[in-house]
Amino acid sequence: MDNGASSYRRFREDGDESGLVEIIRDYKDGLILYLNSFVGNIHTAEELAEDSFVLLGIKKPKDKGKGSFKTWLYTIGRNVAIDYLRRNSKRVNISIDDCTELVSEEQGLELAYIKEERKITVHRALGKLKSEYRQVLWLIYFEDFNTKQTAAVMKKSVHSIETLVYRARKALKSQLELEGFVYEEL
Amino acid sequence: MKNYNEMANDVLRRIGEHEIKQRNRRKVMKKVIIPTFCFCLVALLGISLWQVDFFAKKPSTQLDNSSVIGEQDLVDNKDGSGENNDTDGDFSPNGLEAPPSDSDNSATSENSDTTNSNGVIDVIGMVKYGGTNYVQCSTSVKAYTPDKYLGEASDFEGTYKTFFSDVSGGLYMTKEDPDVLMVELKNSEYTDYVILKKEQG
Repeated sequence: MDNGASSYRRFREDGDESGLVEIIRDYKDGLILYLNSFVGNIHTAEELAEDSFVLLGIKKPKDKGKGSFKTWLYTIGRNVAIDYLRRNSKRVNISIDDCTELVSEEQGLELAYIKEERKITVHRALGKLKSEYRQVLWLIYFEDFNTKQTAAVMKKSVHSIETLVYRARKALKSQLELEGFVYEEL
Repeated sequence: MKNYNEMANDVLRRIGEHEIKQRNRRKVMKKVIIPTFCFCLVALLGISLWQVDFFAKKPSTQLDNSSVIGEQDLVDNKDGSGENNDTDGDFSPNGLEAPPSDSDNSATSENSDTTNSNGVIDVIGMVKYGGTNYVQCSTSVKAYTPDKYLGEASDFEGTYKTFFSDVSGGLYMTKEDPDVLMVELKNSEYTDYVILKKEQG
């Protein structure tokens, strides 16, 4: 299993659109949830994920094969999100109705993607942490990235990631304790 | 939230739209850039030709009968020795090389204007002295020595009536032959001589 690299190669070199469709099928939900940890809005995260796939289709960048395809895709997604945040530095006000809708959609997605009840509780607690903590914990605990891959996606050194993970875990533990939940793996 | 099929359709549609837009942009670029490039090329060519005075009028050498310029073919002789470096005896003061002259033709024809390959008219020198016509010939200047000064060539009837402003032309008899006259062409840079022989018949 090459985690989408062959699908992307098929799309890039032979123009086979089904390759891109397979990538979207496999990585859409995870990328949206990761980008949600970045921008804090599930709709924006969805749009950014779509933008990332469009970017793949238009520019057809070459995967240098340094890391896994997933790491590379998440890096592209992160860059797209950074561009978005730069362009829209002013926060947009969202009505309470929209907020409720956003929460329910996010819950639906996390239910479909994360599945485990315990992890869903942790994910909800993640939403109350800093963006950087959310990102690093999402990549390590939900996407099973190792420190090196996480460092590649977040464009930080391995040492910085280790420090960040340590602090993020501490913050998450406090948050869960506040909510009366004990998670032994932390 | 879109499912993966909806998102895939949206992504492929957007990629298609982008490709169409790119294709149209390329078409427009081709339509605009190629004529612009050609125009710039022609303009550059025009400017460069203009810089080298390509369009400047060539000095007109067409002479009418009322203002015949005297000896046009003057050799550039900066040492003032009066030696003719041109083997055929033709000189070109304007840097225009005259074609080899036909000595028979030059000796016999009073109105012997000939057009050379550059389209420049060569005028054969002629002076009327003592009721006789003396016509320029290609005899070597070394064979003769100037003797008695007769006056300025421009004072006599003939082709030296009208002269270049910066050239003076003294008319001399020669020691060697009474039928041969010499015109000393002189300005600040050079001195040269033209041999005129008495016209036969």
